[in-house]
Amino acid sequence: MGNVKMTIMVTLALGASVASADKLSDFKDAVAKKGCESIPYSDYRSSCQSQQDQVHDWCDGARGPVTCGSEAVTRQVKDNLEKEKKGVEELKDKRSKLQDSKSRASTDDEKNKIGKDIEQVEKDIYEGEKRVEQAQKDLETRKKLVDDAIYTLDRCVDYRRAVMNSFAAALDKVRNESETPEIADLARQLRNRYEEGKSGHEEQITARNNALSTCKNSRP
Amino acid sequence: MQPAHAAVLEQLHAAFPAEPIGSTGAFDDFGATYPDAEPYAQHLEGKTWAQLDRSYIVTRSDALGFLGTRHVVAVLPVYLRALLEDGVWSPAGDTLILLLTKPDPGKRTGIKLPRFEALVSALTAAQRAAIAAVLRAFAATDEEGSLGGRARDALEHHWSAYLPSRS
Repeated sequence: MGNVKMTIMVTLALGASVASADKLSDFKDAVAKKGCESIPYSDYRSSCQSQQDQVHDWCDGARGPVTCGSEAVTRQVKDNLEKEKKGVEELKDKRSKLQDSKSRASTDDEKNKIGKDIEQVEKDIYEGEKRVEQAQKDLETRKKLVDDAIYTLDRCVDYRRAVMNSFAAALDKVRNESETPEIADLARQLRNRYEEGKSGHEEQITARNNALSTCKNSRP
Repeated sequence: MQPAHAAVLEQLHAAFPAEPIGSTGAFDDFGATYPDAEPYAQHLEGKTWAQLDRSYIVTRSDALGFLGTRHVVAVLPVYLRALLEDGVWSPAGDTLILLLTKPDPGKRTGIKLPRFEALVSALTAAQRAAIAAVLRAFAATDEEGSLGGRARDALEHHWSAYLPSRS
């Protein structure tokens, strides 16, 4: 019975010692590295890495636009559409007045002259309607870009926040590491690094939120 | 590019000399958690700011939040130039303007005041003036937009002091 107890105790001590050595090795690796690799816990590290892949996808422009330019672009496109529509309306008024004049004209010469003017105005209306159509397409294109950018930036911010949270979770955990003096020392180094790096992540989230706000203000 | 911008670009080139950038220690102070620290540092190594792969550097503008002050100064002209040339479409615009905006006391978002002050201290007078000139030139191109508004805020909060006074 005594031997069994001793064997169990030795096994447990050996197991704890091996686990401690593994942990020390993980912490040494983490201190020597940067980015997600500087997280000594495999679960947080792999979560950080997979979220960071998504950051690249959604923040670099591969999945969609990440800037809407300026609110002024939307205003210009809308103003242009209004201007073209107004131009066509004015031409239609002009045509209507010419048709009225033509019906009241007393001579054939006068009727012919007004008829030619009406023909010219109709050509202008045709051209004007084409410009309205183009301006409408431009507005739809702008709307699509803005909607796409809002969608992309939303995800970009979410994934950036997820990466930041991986470090926040690791920070919480390294704060309590004191298994051996060596691990405690490495944990303290990691804790300092995570704390120093936090504002970099926050700045990026703020910058992307600013871009998002420009896009939301740019909705036609 | 607008003719006025060509003069500002010249000012930028004169203020930020084309010296090779050493990437050692670039992310030591604030960048241990920056996931792209290694590839970004590799892109910097041995190149002058004018030789850097502009597309990569501008796409990775998030590095500005993690670089040490000396290295921010080294790459800053790339981002300033992009703001000048690409205007409101520069994907780095929001990050750059946030970096250059002196934070109000107690403000919780954006760059922290000690970091902003360290950046300003590390710049020469000519570099500060060039930054102010870029912000002013950019703000003039986006008078009604919010990014232009943020550039004006950055000027008013700090950088306009380095612009030549108008008589």
